[in-house]
Amino acid sequence: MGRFLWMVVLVLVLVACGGEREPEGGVILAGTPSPVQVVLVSGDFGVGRPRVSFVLYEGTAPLRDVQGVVLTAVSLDDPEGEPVWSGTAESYTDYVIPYWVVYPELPTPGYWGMTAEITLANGEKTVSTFVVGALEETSSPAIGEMAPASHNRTIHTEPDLSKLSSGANPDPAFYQMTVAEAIASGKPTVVGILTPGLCQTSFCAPVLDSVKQVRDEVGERVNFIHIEVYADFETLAPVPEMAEWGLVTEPWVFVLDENGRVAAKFNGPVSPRELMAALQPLLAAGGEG
Amino acid sequence: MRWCRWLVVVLLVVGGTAVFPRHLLAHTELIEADPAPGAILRDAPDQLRLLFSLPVTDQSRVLLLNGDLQLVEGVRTQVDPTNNRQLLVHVPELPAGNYTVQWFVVAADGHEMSGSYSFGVRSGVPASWLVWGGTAVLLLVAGWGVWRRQRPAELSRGG
Repeated sequence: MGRFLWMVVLVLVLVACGGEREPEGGVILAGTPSPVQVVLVSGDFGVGRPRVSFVLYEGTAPLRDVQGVVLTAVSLDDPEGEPVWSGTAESYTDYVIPYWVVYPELPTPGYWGMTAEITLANGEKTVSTFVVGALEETSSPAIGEMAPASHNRTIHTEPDLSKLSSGANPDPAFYQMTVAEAIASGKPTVVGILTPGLCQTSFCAPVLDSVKQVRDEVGERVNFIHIEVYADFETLAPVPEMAEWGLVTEPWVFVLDENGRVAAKFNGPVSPRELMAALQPLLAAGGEG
Repeated sequence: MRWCRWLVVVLLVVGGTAVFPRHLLAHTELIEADPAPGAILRDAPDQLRLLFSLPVTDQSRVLLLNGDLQLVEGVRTQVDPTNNRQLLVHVPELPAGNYTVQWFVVAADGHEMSGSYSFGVRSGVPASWLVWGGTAVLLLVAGWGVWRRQRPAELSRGG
């Protein structure tokens, strides 16, 4: 009788120990859920090859040492879930927050499931998914379209620099010409529409610093214009260029070719390297690269 | 499924027509979630809770995708009436599998953000329990056999 009781106790202990193994088992699941969060830091996606930028987080901290991200796009309208595109994201670490950019091919408007296979620093892989909504037409000027020839405020129409920028120390060089004048100049132009002083997070505040860094590199070969989002910092009324360019959020940086067509556009973070890469073909075409 | 898609349409339209921010611009961030990113749950949740760094509006929504990237129907999102930085998401009964929580929030300043994370559900009898339970049954049967075999001998010695 004593041996049997001992057996029963042993069995109960074994069963109890089996229960404690619960959290890491993952036997039933095809794969364990990823601890990595994907936060989209751009928007206004259109069909074609929109620029989709994102930041990877673990907890509340951005992941800084990810080795690579491979993405696959699946239409959420496709019951079969057949992938229509796959590609590798580009990492930009020369910005306050390391971010990733991918240009997926999204042929139709609708909702696209993006599966991101993330290779972590230790070589382990994890898979996260997110959704991108592609519009038939974006509200901001599309690549290849003529940019609005804005008659934005400059230092010549508003000598008080503190009204032309919410930034702490506005650089007068950004407020010398209108977009209309820049287009007429026959040179490539970078237009930043953002509010450096009133944006509080690293997703937007350092963008003008990226533009400044590129300006220091390319000098007079390119026009650089900053348009502040707000016309009045008391009422916070937006400048008319926000509506003229079809913008409902910020920050935005547009690269215009020498004819004033949109060659590239960046919503959200943009690093000096990414901006410079967009300018290089224009500089090369002008024989000055 | 169709209504979920309409929900996304509404979100996109809201995004395209939102009144531009009237306050300091800041991008709200997800600072806490229940279930947590990467969590594996024994029991399926009937509610998700997402806490953001800034107040969010009732234009904010959460979509739930299953492991086949299909939208889960019957998901309802509301701003927590006791905490305007928190979204409460009522979800239907979830079978075992991995899920992606895709959140779209419109902050009180009008700024939009979106992001996603995953969690897993392993409802029903866990496989580890089956293994250990099977072992337990075998040991019980073996123990019973040993006890039955020894009992007559003990009885005869005692008699």
